[in-house]
Amino acid sequence: MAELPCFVYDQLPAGYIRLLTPTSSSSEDGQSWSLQTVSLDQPDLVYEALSYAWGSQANLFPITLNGCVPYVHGNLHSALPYLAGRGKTRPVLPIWIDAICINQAHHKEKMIQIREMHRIYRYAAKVWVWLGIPEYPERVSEAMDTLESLEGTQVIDLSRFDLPLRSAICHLELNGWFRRLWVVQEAALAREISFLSGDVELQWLDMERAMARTDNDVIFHTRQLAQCYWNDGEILGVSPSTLLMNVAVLTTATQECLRPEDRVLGLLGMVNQDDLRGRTLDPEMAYTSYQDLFTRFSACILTEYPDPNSVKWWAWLSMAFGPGKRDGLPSWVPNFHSVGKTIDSTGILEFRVPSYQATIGQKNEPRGDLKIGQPMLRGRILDEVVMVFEPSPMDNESYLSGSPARQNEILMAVAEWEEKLAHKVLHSTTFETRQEICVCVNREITLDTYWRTLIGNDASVQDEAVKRDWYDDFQAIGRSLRETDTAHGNER
Amino acid sequence: MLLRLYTSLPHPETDTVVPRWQEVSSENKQYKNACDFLILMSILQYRQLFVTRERRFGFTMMGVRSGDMLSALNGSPVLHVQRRVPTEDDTETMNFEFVGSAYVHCLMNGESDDTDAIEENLVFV
Repeated sequence: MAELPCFVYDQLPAGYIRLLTPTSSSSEDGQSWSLQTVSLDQPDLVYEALSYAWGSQANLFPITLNGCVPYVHGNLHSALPYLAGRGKTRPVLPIWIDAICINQAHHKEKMIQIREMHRIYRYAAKVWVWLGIPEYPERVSEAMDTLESLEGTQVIDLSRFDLPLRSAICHLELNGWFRRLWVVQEAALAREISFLSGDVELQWLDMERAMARTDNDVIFHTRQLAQCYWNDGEILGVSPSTLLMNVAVLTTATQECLRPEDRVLGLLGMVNQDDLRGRTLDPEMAYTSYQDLFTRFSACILTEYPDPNSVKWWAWLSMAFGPGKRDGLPSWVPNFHSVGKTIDSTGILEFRVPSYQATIGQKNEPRGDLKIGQPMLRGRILDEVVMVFEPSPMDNESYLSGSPARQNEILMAVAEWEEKLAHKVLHSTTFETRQEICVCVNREITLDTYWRTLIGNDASVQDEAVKRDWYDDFQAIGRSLRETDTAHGNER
Repeated sequence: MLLRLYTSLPHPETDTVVPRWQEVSSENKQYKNACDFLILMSILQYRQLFVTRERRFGFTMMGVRSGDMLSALNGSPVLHVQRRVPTEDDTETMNFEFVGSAYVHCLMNGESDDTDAIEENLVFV
C-alpha cells in the first residue's frame, strides 16, 4: 500500500458531486473504492448517502481510492467494509460520504458543497445511518425490542439484563449519532432511511418506537415535521418559518455542534432555498458573525411566523431571556448555542396550561426594522420596579435527583429564604430604593397574592387544587426541619 | 406544571441511574403538600421577585433592577419587564432592552386594559 501515490482531487464544477463505489479488487477488505464525478441534475442519477458522527480526527487510516491512498478517520474507516456490503441483498449503489466526496482541504469547494447538502440528501435514493460496530451484534434486535418495552418506565434497572444485552442497549440509546446537530437535517430530508449497526439493517420506524421514551426522539419528530413541510406544506399550512421555529426549539436543548453558527446553518437546508431568497436569511448573503446570523434568523421567525398572536411566537421571544445570555446579541435574540438544557427547567411561562392571557384581545403586529435589529411592538408601560429580592436558593435539578436528606436540606434553605421574603413583602410599607425611600400606598399585597405569586398562580397538581394550607404546610415543615437541625447541631 | 419526562439509562461505566426529570409531583408522602408547594416554586429558578411603585408583586428573569419598567405588550399571554436605554441619535425617544417575561398577580387576565396607561410604540434593541 505504501507505494501507492497520494490521492489528488480534481476540480469540482458547480452542481456536481463525487460518488463512491466499492471496487471488487483483490483485497476484498472493503477499503478499496473508486470515485466518480456526476451532475446532481442528471435525471437518471441513483445513489445513496451516509449520515454518521465524524468522531475523533486524531487517528487517520489509509484506504484505497482510484488506486491512490487518502487517509480517513477511525469511525469512517471501520464503517467502510460494512458500507461496501450494506446488507448484501441488493445491487450496491454508489454512496456519498462527505469526508471523502468533498475535498476537505479546498475551502471554497467545501462551502459550495455544504450549501448543496440539502439536495444531496433529498435526492439520495436512501440514506444510511452508521451507528458503529456493536460489541454483541447478535443481541441488537433483542435490544430494540427491549427498548421499546421500556416505554413508560420511570426508573430503568439494567441489572436484570445480562451484559451483552446491556451493551447492545447502550450501543443504541447512548449512540453519539443521536446527539449531533447536522444529522438532524440529513435524516429529515431523506426519502428513505435506515440504520446500519455493523452489518445489521435496522428500520427507521422500529428505531423510532425504541427511542420514544428518550430525548433521542427529537430527530424522529423533526423528520416528521420536515416531511410534512415538503410533502403537504401548502395544504397543511406548514410555512418555512413554522418549520424553522419548531426545529430550532426542538434541537437547541439536545443537539450538539462545534461552532455557534452551525446552530442556524445546520437547519437552513431543511427548507426550500427559494423560499429564503430575498429575505433576511437569503442563502447567498454572507453573514459577518454568528451574532449577525442569529439576529437574522430570529428576525425571520418573528416577522414571518404566520401567527404573531400565538403562544409559540411569544415563547420564541422568551428564549432570548434565558440564563447564559447576551454575548453581543440584541436583547430579543435567543442565543441558540447556550439556551441548552435550561429551556425545559425554566418552565416557560408562555407555555403554562391553562394559559395566561395578559393582553387578550389586543393584536400583536411586529414592525420596525428587524434587519438593523430593532423590532417595534405596541403595548403599554404599566409600572416601575422599585425593589428586587434575593433569588430563591431552589435548585430544581439537585432537588429532583437528590437523596431524601439532600431534599430536606434544600427544603430548609428555601423555607428560610421564603420566611425573610414574606417578612419584607408583607410587613413593610416602605421600600428603600437606590434613589429614594418610596412609600407605596395604592394597594396592599395580600397574603393570597403573595403565596399565589410564588407559584405563578399554578392552580392544580394532578387535578388536585392547590390550597392555602399547602403553603402553610411548607412553612411549618421548613420551621420544624430547621429546629430539629439546630437541636442536632447543639447536641454535637 | 408541565415538564417533559425522560428517564435515562444508567451510565455505562459507573452504572448509576440519572433521572433527567422525575415525576413532578412529590414522592415524599410524609410532607406531600409542602413538597408539592416547593416543587411548584421551582418556577422561580433563574427568576427574581420584585415589587413595583404601585405595590404590585411579581417575578421576571434574574437580573431585574429597580427602575426597570413593567409592560403589557399587545397580544402577549404574559407581561414583560424591560429597561430603558438611550437611543444612539440621542433624540427624546427611548429604546428598550428586554429583561424577561413577567408574572404579576392580578394582571394576567387582561386587567391592564382597565388601567389608564397609554398604548405606544416600543422599540427594542
